[in-house]
Amino acid sequence: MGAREAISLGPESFSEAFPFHFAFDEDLQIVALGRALKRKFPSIGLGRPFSDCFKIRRPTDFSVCSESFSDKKTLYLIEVQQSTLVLRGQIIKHTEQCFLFLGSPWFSNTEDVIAAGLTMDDFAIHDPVIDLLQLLQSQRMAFQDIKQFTERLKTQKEKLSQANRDLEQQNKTLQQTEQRLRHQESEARKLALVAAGTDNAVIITDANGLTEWVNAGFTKQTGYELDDIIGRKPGHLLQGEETDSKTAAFMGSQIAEGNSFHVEIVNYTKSGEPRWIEIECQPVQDNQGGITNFIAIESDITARKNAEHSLRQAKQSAEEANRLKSEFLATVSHEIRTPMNGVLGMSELLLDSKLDSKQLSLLQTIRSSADSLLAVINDVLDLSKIESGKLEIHQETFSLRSLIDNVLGSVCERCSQKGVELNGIVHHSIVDSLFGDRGKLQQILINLIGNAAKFTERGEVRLEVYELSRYNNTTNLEFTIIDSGIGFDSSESEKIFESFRQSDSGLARKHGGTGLGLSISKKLTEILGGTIKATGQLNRGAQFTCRIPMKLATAEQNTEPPIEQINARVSIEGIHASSSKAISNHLTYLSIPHLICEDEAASLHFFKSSDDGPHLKRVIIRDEAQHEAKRFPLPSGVKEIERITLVSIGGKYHVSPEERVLLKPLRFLSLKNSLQATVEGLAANTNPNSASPQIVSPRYRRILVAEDNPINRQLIQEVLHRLNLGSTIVNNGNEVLELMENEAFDCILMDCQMPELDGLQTTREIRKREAQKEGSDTQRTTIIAMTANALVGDRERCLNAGMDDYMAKPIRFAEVKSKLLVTEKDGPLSESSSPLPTPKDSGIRSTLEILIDQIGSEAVLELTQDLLKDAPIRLEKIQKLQQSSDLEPLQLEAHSLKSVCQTYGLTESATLLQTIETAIGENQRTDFSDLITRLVLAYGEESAKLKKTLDQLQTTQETAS
Amino acid sequence: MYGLVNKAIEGLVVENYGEEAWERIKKEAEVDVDLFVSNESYDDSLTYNLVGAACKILDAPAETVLESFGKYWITRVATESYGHMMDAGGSNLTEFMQNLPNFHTRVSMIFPNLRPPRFEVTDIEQKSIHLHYHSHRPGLQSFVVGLMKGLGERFGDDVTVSLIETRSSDPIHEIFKVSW
Repeated sequence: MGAREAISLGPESFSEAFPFHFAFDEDLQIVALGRALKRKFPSIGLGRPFSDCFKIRRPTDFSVCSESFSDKKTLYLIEVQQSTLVLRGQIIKHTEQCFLFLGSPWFSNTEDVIAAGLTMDDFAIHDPVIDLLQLLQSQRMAFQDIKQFTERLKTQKEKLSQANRDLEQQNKTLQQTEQRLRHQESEARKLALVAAGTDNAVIITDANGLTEWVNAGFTKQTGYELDDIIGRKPGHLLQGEETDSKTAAFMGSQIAEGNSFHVEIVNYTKSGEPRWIEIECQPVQDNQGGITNFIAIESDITARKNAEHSLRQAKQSAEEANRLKSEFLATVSHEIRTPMNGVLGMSELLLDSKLDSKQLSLLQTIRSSADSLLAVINDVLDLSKIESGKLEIHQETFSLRSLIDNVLGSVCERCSQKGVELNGIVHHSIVDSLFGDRGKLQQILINLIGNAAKFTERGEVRLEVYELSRYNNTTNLEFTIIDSGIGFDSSESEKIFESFRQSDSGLARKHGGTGLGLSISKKLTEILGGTIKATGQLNRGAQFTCRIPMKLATAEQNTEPPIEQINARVSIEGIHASSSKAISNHLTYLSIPHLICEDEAASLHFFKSSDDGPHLKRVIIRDEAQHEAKRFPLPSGVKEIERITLVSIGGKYHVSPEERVLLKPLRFLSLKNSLQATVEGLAANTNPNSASPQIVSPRYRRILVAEDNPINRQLIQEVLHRLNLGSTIVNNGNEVLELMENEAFDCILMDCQMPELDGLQTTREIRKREAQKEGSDTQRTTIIAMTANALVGDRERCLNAGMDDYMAKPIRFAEVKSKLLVTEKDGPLSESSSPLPTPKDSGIRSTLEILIDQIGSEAVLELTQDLLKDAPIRLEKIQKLQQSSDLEPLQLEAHSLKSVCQTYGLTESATLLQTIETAIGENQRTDFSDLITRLVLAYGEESAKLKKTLDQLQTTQETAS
Repeated sequence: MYGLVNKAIEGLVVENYGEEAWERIKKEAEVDVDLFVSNESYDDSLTYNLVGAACKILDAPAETVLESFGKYWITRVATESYGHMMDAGGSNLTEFMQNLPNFHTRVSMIFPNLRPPRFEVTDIEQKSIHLHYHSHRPGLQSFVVGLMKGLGERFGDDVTVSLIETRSSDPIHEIFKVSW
């Protein structure tokens, strides 16, 4: 067998070598199939047409016919029909009738092998397709590895960058730490230099407070060397008897807790001298925050401590001096008030008597002088009350417009005398009925307007009230007092509220007053929760603005009846701008239509245009200056016009009795009443030139007076007599109680300090008895205190004891009158009058003159002789009583004699007696012998003067008679 | 050995004991390779060191480690890396075993530096065969056991493997009886 034959294969071997072969004849029918195709595609049977089984994919556009297959060089891709299997191979013409395909499946990845449903066995062993696929697979794995490697690299790179950043940060921190260390080192170096060079003691201890090092300053300060203290706690060596144990314990605890501290403590030097030392101690920490040391810097502050001590003492002395000053002020004002009893009381009684014009003028001066003196004293007392913080707020319901009327009334006389226009504008939107401290608000405004009136010689003083805001139940009111007076330098606008200050002390001399008014106003405003400020220019007037929150009266608090509609139309004709504005606001508040105009022509036009029914009254309010102005005939339809003239007090305008007038400054109530009367057709009766008529009736029918001092007894009796009031008079509380067993009284005027049973005790007893009789028809007796002690809290003591009211001595005619009589127009009393120059002397002579006038010379002679007889006995008694351990009898005796001395104007004796009385009252163990010696001397002098004056008066009277 | 083997050890450890254990093993084996490349040839000692270190760190005998590795090799590595070749290797254990020698021939064609073991299959019964293992590397019998058990798992058969003969020669020739 030749080599060619030797390599020819039998069908089985051929199929093993080419499992994917197939053969077809020239009719293109399948004639042979490889084992793998046979297994996989049993449908491809022998004899089947080529095209049913296979499809030539490459070459494309291949025309399947036997001729086409003759080219041996063609690479075929043949798809097995109805499958995805593609065979790659060549076709050779085996014989003339037979074509043979040799090849194997073509795959580009291993998955396709499985997808084609083939196994390894289907492939000939020599077929490299599977291995090539695996090679591809391994390349893919390599690619995967590279990808993974790249990913890992990327991650590593990120980590590296992060590490770099961390490193940079660490580096930065390191640099900072290094810098800090360098800084600390340099600080330490400086500190070391300072520590070595300073006079202060520097101690470095370990963490437990045991000394490691001290500087030279320490040795200089304490006398101890380093060797003395090393390894010891500094306190053990330095602290001693005067060292405050609490401070020492505090230092120990701070060291134990590792805290810094700052203390002042007494340390001792080696020589045993105590020194005040200021210690500043700081812990020193290592990098981990652990404490390694403490550094203490100790300064000797003994000199400062001594200075502080002196300062404290000086401050205490100053405070004590201030307290004494306040006491002195209170005492002095009290002492001045007491003799005012004589001056004011007598002058008022005197004014009511028959006098010639010169006497009247002199007496008016006395009275006004006394009034202003009283105003000054009241200011001082007010201020001392405010400063001591004892002023309480008394809330009540009041009418704001009435209050403004009163405020205007307080200065109307002064303004009209100077021809200064005075106006009060209350904005119509403001609610009239308020709830608050009426008294304080009134005092503030009276002070401010009084001040304005005082410093204004011409032009205008104007009070304006506006509402800034209203929230819930509170209205914020702004009161502005504007004047055209001398003003003040704008740089003074804060200072003028200081006590005892007027912008120019010369002004005080010219205008009088204490300069306390503004200070009091400011303080009262602040007490009411408000603010006050002043603006002004020298010679251009001043403006005081006061903002005060006020509560609106609730329906329950408001006792005022609602305003009745006044059916009128009003023309305000030719009136000063401010007055017009004031009237206009009041009319708007009263819902009265009105017009402000220049002349009657305009008024008539206004009336003509109105048609408000037959009962409408047409009213012209005009200024007195308009009196001569032209009258126009009434227009048709206007039957009648009422005219009200606004006139000044003491003006030249002559008012006929039937004419309706209103006084300047225009007051709300007068305006309202006048309009009401006009509408109701009542006769005019307001004549400004006569005293306002008042229908007077006694408030109480049965009056009892309890007063131990005979002179005062006579005085009050005389006052009551002048008021047409009868009275019963007793000496002390026991007599009051005794009398009241059988007799009832409507009112008791009760002296507070009386022998046996004083006024307060008596009152308590009366109230107790009344309480026991409750339910019967016994009426509660009104008790009014009379006391010479015008001190803070006095009033409260009286009221607490059950009294109803309070009159400070000196008893004033007007005050007694207002308390005991009811007048038809029971307006508020003008308690604060314009301050005028103070009198220089209210001495014995004038006192006696007044007394004589009140109770007659005979009575005075008799009483004075009684006094001159009685007083030496009392003085002797006083001298004896000072030895006694019980000082109460001495106090009573001194009080009683003081009262008599005051009545006679023996002022020095009275002052000394007051000093004794007060000292006992305040439990002061004073050297009474000195006081009493001075008293005996003073009484000797003053009684001699009294006798002399009495003789002179007697002579004068005898001569006269 | 190719990186694929070392990667497989890494996969086995990380999957069962975590990254940290793997890092400890590498450290113990003094292997400073961050990432094994599958197609790259590494020194055999590296693989031995890794196995030794794994025994120490995981506190397990070498046999257990190697057997686990053998199983892991079949069920995870081979399936993932030569999955379709494995599929093509046969549809049952007998078939696969019979193809095994060729399989290795093919693999060695792809990895030219590979010194793969040689396998022969004799005494083919319906439920057992004799597997002849020829290798230049000592001490990997347990690995072979693991491989057989892994194959059993692959084809759903419970396989037992016993060494029936060791013929002292170079390369080592060991005969295992694989039954299922």
